[in-house]
Amino acid sequence: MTLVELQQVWKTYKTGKIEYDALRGVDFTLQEGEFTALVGPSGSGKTTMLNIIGGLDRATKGTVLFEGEDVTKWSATRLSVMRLEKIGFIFQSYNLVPVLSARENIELSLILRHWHADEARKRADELLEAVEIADMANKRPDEMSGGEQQRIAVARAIADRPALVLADEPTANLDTATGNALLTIMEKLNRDEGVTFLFSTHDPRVVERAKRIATIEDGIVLKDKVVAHHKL
Amino acid sequence: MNTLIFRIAWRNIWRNTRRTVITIVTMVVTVGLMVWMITFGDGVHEQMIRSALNLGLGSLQIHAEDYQDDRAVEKVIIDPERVLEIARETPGVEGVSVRLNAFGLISHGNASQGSMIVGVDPVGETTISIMDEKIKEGEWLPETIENERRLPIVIGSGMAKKLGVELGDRLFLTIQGFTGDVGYTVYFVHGIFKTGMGELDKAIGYVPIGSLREVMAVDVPLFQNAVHEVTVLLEPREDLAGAVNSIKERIEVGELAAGNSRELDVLSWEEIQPGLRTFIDLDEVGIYIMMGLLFIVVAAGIMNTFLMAVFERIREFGILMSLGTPPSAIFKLVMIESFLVGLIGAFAGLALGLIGYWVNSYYPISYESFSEMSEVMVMDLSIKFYPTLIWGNVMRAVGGIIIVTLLAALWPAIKASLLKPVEALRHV
Ligand SMILES: Nc1ncnc2c1ncn2[C@@H]1O[C@H](COP(=O)(O)OP(=O)(O)O)[C@@H](O)[C@H]1O
Ligand SMILES: [Mg+2]
Repeated sequence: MTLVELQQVWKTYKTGKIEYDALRGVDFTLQEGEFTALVGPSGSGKTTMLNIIGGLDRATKGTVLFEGEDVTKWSATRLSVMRLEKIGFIFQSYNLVPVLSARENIELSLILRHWHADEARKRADELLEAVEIADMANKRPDEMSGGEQQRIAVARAIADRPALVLADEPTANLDTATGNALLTIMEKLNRDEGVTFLFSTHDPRVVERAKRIATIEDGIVLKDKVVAHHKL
Repeated sequence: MNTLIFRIAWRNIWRNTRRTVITIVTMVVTVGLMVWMITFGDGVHEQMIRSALNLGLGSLQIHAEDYQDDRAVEKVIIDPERVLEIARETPGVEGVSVRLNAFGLISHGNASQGSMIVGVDPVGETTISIMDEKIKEGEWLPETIENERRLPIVIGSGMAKKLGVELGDRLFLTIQGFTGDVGYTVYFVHGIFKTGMGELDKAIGYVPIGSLREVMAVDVPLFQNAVHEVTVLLEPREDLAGAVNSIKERIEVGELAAGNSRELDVLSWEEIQPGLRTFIDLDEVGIYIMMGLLFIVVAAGIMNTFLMAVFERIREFGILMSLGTPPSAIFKLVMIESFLVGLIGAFAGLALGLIGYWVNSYYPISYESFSEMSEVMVMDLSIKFYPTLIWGNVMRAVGGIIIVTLLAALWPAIKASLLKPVEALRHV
């Protein structure tokens, strides 16, 4: 099933009098179950594109379909509901809630999704195991390393089994080993739980592990290839 | 929503401990001051009322119809017996007595003083007023008159000074009777009182009611039992309006003995002495205006704090939004935080105020230095003022500060809820 479809999507940023077209007519589709990398140099429009797909930002022009529905004109509240019910985000800079512990950060995303407190806690503990940092459960973000924080962010993003996880350069701030470990976790979730991943990167080692690679340059998605060596 | 939202709110409050503490201290001091001010104001007012009530006004009075309008001497209750009974049966009654009021001139030698002559039941009067306790020289009116040729009068110290009289001196009274004729009689100074209130001390004399009636009702047998007032004193804080109404009802239902040609009026002290009520109401308005101003100052401070707190956390709101938190929940989060701060400030303030109240009840405040004010006011300012705790009034300050806090947080909360997720996330 087609999860996301962008049709001729433009994004124009205005800073004072200066206008800049970050996206210049992007056409792109994403199917359920994909593990896809969005690759392109810095400033090519990766973040912009992910934000628009995730309903964090709005396209200036063009159509964004999510599960077949045109979300371009949705209200802020309706978009927040879409994020709540369908999407998990992983950011380059982790973006955990600073006043909450690791476990509470995961719980929060479940509580917001109307989970019962007891079940949320159970699920959080389960996820802490899955991302292999159960011992960090009660630590606050500022007491954790970047890699640990990003694992929590991954756990948080996938906690309620969203239809789609958008990860914006998830490994950019991590060393190679940590980055690899994180990707392994993401792969496992994709394989075992069927979570769809779309992640941006410009790290070749990360690109290597994608099943499909979409390339973006100067705000246009150029190439799109399915990587053969992966068994779907 | 969930305790987790409260946990976020709670921890956020203490993230910038210094700022939160400053905000809360401001609120605590404000509320504490207000609470104490209110208890003190209520105490002063209650004592003012009590003092006026105890110095003769009573809680309520029953008059012949329209007597209050002009105090015309002929507007009397002709047969007060049944009225007295009804009055005594009123719930919460402390005392009941009758009075006859006359205007006259009191002279001694060449000196004279225009005065109100109040005919009282010497015993009954002590149940409704404390004039007997205010006697500084001699004694209060005796229960029975032993010597018809030496009728007793009790006057104030001001009058005694003006007339240059001492205990036992002879006073000559010229009194207007019921029919308009002028009567003359002689009284002997039996006691001298001092209330501290200029008017009272200078221009009132108390005499036994029978002796006054005799002078006033020469040749009018109808007025044999006449009185102007049946005065009722209720226990402190008894339901005044309720008492007035219950007496009114019973009188209207026609329980009165025949013979009273006029209808009767039942008046609360507020109707008899509206000036005192107005003075207290104005004073209260003053307190509330001051409270309002304080609230505005505090509100400005709180709003500033919350705006700063919101600004510092824009990125965090972005995170919450990226998780799918709807704008309404962001709004709620800020409001919950402000509510928690308001709650702490309000109740800690209440505690401080109550400590102030408690200390003040052990160390009452005296207005002695203002005692010249008592000339114009209906009360004795030489007394010490104790605060009175009326929860309903005190909670106005507590509720007020919580409402003010929520109002002050409204704008910051709206601002936070209107943040655009991407922009909020990019904020550093
Ligand atoms: N809020 C913004 N205002 C103005 N220009 C922006 C804004 N966000 C991004 N841009 C510009 O849009 C282009 C694409 O940015 P971005 O999507 O962040 O690229 P990437 O994530 O691939 O590095 C860049 O040139 C960037 O400077
Ligand atoms: Mg980027």
